[in-house]
Amino acid sequence: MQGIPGRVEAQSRDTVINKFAVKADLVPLYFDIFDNREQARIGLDFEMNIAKRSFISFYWDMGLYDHYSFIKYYDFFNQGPGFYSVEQKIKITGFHFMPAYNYYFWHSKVKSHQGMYAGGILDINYYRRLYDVYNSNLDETNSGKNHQFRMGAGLSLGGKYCFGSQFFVEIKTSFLAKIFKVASDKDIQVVKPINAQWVDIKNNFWWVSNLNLGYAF
Amino acid sequence: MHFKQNRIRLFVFFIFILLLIQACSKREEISDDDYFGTKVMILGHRGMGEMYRFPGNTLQAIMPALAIGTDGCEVDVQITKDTVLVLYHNLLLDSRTTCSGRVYESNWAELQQCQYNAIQNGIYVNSVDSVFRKIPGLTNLYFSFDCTKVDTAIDDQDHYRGQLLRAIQRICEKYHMCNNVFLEGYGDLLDKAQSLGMTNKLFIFGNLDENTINFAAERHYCGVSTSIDALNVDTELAHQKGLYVMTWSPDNYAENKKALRRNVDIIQTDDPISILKLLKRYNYEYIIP
Repeated sequence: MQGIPGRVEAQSRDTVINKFAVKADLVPLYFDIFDNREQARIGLDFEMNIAKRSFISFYWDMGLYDHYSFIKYYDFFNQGPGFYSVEQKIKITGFHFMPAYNYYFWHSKVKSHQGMYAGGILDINYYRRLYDVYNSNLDETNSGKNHQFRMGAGLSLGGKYCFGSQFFVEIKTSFLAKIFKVASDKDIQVVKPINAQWVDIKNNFWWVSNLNLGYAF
Repeated sequence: MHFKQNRIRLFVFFIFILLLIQACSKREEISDDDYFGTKVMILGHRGMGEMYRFPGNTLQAIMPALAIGTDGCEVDVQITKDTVLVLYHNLLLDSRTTCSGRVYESNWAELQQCQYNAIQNGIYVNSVDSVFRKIPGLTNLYFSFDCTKVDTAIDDQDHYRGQLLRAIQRICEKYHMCNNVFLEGYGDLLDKAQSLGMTNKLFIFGNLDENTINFAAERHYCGVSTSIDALNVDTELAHQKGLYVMTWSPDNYAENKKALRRNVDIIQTDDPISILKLLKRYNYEYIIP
């Protein structure tokens, strides 16, 4: 029996061949482009199809999250101690590890990495915050560091579109809620999830979006 | 062959990412040095600016502006019938609140029930006293009181100005803010402030031109308060006469930069976030409500 060309094509691109994928997230570049803060972050995702309609993914977002100065000036008219500044230099490094389980509610029959999906996601993150505070009036610098570990869980929704046989673009959005947080110093301000596009004022909920370029193999 | 092609594609892809990161690493630097040897003062226009979700001249708009790093705020002040100093922009209450009538015709007891027509319920007209009471480190901050909202329907304008200025004086003395509250107004109000012995810094309201500069210099005002679009002459002209130039209200990144390039001394901005970030004066750790 002669094979049907379209069927052969479909089989060659099914989940058996493209079982895995690696993805690079472009969203961490946002702050570098639009914000006056230094970041050197990289977002990488590895995913694995575990069934016809579902896959698991392990997303790592890591690096330098923040490196900025916050300068506050005082006594602009020299009517008190004289014009002076307090400059805080903040450096935050860390990682977000986000494992997820996703289920395709719409899936292309031809391309294994094309479809719309929903799933559950965890956000396990750690930040190390280094600070130097310089007061020009006192000519004094205070330095220190603190650590913060937080875990959140939530739901995500995403879609993938293939171009070519192995490359694809993915848009994913996740809404997360805090499960617990541990900080080395309770007196300092909580570091908000820096990978998030929105954080609620109490730091209990956050929203993360990813724009991934992927390669399936 | 197929495998080799894929490796090339992957290599090109990662080179593209690296180039993108490199391209983004260049940042623009702009000076915030002031003519008088300090730095340009950044004030939030009515708080967080006109585009903010909460109405201006309220505690809900002022507190975030101060928390993100502004040096203070510009606010509009008026007095009630019982001479309580309130923060409100328009002359008529109908235009922005659930109440009707004029501010100076209402008592404070009535006015504090007036709720703003805003996205969120429960935002009321504030008195200056109630706002100042809740600001930590108040004496390190600066407020510019826009006193130009004098209703032409008031019969005795001079009497009203006197009452308004005395109300300001009481608040400034109560909170030790006489050096930190500027008064923006027309000549007659500023002259009245001088005659009352007020030590607040006085800013004449108008275009930045030779007439205004000479007028302000003759009367020993602190400076000129002018629109970003009315900087008709070089600010250097005002500076040479010892006058500060305060400008309002750039409302985006480009306008903020324009204000800095014109070497003004005080900027009342509707977009405090972008200018503070530009000048490394933004508190990234604060979450704006």
